[in-house]
Amino acid sequence: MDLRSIWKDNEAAAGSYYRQLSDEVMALARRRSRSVLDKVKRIILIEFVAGLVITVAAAIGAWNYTSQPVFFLLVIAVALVAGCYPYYWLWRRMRHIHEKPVLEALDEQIVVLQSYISHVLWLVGALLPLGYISGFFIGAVEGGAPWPGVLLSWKMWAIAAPLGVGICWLIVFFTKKYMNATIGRQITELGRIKLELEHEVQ
Amino acid sequence: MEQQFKELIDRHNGILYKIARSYAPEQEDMRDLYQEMLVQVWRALPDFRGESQASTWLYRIALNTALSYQQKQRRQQTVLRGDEHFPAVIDDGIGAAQARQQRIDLLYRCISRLEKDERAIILLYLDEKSYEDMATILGISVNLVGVKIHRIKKKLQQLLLENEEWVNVWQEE
Repeated sequence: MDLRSIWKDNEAAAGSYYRQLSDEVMALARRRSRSVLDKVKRIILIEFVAGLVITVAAAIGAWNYTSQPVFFLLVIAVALVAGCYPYYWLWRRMRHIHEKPVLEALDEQIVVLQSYISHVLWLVGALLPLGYISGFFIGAVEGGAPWPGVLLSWKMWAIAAPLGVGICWLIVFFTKKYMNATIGRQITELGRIKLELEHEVQ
Repeated sequence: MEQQFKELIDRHNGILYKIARSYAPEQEDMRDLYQEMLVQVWRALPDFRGESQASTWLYRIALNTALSYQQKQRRQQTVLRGDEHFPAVIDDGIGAAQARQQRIDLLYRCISRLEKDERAIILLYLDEKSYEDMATILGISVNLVGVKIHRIKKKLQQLLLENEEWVNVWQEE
């Protein structure tokens, strides 16, 4: 059974399919990608731009309202550089990923997607407590608690901390579940393909 | 750039078609995957320096896109029944042409039953790529390519022979 000779008959079908699309090839090529990697890339870009805007706003605020703007600007600059690094790292790894040999590309995709999950969990785990604690104390001050003395009140911390930990744990837990059910599933699939490709089935 | 892209796809559209059809047997999925491949090729083109052959470069992009392509859940169960939706090559009315078309459809059906990594290897084999080229595209050793091809070919032939339709078409000619 010569499979290659049968396969050659396929060229006509390929040509016929292409001719149906040939007028819209450029339009199709310019459409937005729907791959998970490109979605991750877009989210990262949005996060990065949002982070940049917040940092610049904080820098302007520090410049206007503090007596030590240089110190605050320095803190913001360090935060900016530290914040940029993970984005740069992910961005760099994602570039040219599809042009690499298949095994290497699979490996890179797994690393990128795993890093992205860790990044999201870290972001949720770090930002939520910050947001929650800030909201809690802002509420307390609005309700008449003295500022900044309220920050030193152990009673307030005794209420805020366990609640904060509980809420954050729940949100991180469900985020992790969600990420594993979506991107995690793809990582497992890519890992399986990679394993089968680099080893011969016995 | 647009001209270069069109010329490249004109010349190598078969690569995209075969890979897309093997990884997404349903017509709608196949169109999505084909489009995704075009998107990735178009984006990567400015960085293509011609260090490798255009076809090798295209195979890498197409296979990497196909391997990470997620089919829509609702269609996965009917994955093996998609061939009837594909436009057949214009039939010249001769039985032999019909038989050839049927054989191709069945071959795709059986290829789609292979594991994803096996599909990549058998597609390169069927396209008469050398072991060295296959190793370059896949990023594995030439020896491993040889061992794998031997096993996958046997598996594919077994799948074909188990298919009654295949045996009938084969005998008809």
